[in-house]
Amino acid sequence: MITSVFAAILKKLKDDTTLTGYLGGASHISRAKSLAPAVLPAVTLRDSGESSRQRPCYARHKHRDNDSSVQIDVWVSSDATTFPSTGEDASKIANRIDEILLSVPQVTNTSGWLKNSETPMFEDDTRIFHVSSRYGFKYSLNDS
Amino acid sequence: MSGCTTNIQDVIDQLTRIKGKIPPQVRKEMKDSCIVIVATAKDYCTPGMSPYDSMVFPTKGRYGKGKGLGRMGLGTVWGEGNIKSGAPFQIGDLRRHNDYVVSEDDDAHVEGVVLNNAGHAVYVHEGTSKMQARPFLLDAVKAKQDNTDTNIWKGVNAAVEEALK
Repeated sequence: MITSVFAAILKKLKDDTTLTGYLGGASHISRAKSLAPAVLPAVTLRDSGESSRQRPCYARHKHRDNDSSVQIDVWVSSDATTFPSTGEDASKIANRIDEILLSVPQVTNTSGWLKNSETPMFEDDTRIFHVSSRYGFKYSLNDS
Repeated sequence: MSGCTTNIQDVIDQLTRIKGKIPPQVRKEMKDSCIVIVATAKDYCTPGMSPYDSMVFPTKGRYGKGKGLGRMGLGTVWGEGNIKSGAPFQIGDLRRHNDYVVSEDDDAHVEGVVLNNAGHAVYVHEGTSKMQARPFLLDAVKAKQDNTDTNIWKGVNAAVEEALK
């Protein structure tokens, strides 16, 4: 996924005051690393695969169409004493992310957003509610 | 000048015949597609054949029935390659549980589902706070999407041809 598209998705989430209100600030929304963030609650994003097709007359116009996928994880600690601290709270955050990404106007320079999956989990050892969602979308680009 | 008249009831009867022929053909093609996807998912759970080979999991091999090289306790042997590879493979339990189900409802909708009912599958597939996601089923479905689409259309076309004989 090109960096400008990833950045646009991050921006749309961070610009939503309802979502940042749930989390305690826009800094709680970030690109995923190999481990969950140390500070919870948090929302992390990771690239989840992409395919690309050249349009007809690519040799002349250099247009490509990409089908991309992004995984968005909601992390909520059950040891928190205030919202969010339950599985229902984690689902509420995930639902808000749905409303943001599946509404119009869509993320800048993208189209065809759809939600492919949502998997709620609870980690017994860390006592973290984890909701993993995947979204598919399309975007086009011009190669130089 | 030529003309053509159509009996609407004949058209309806023909479409009904076609509709009746589609599910068995599509079910067969869906089953073949699911077999291919499951085989791909198994590859993705195999060191040396997995797109996750280069991912690093520092704690892999420290927990579970055996650890490191050699035979331990319950007779589990873990090879060094299994530890170093990021593929979701330790004793092959996850790989073994890849499976599929093809079903049809009363409205002639055919559905194929690829699944893994190992207890830890969801945590490997979606990731945890300590372990990056390795969506082996989803990636297998995506990798074989074109093959699946071609197969389904082959089934539909075969059903139409059979109905129109």
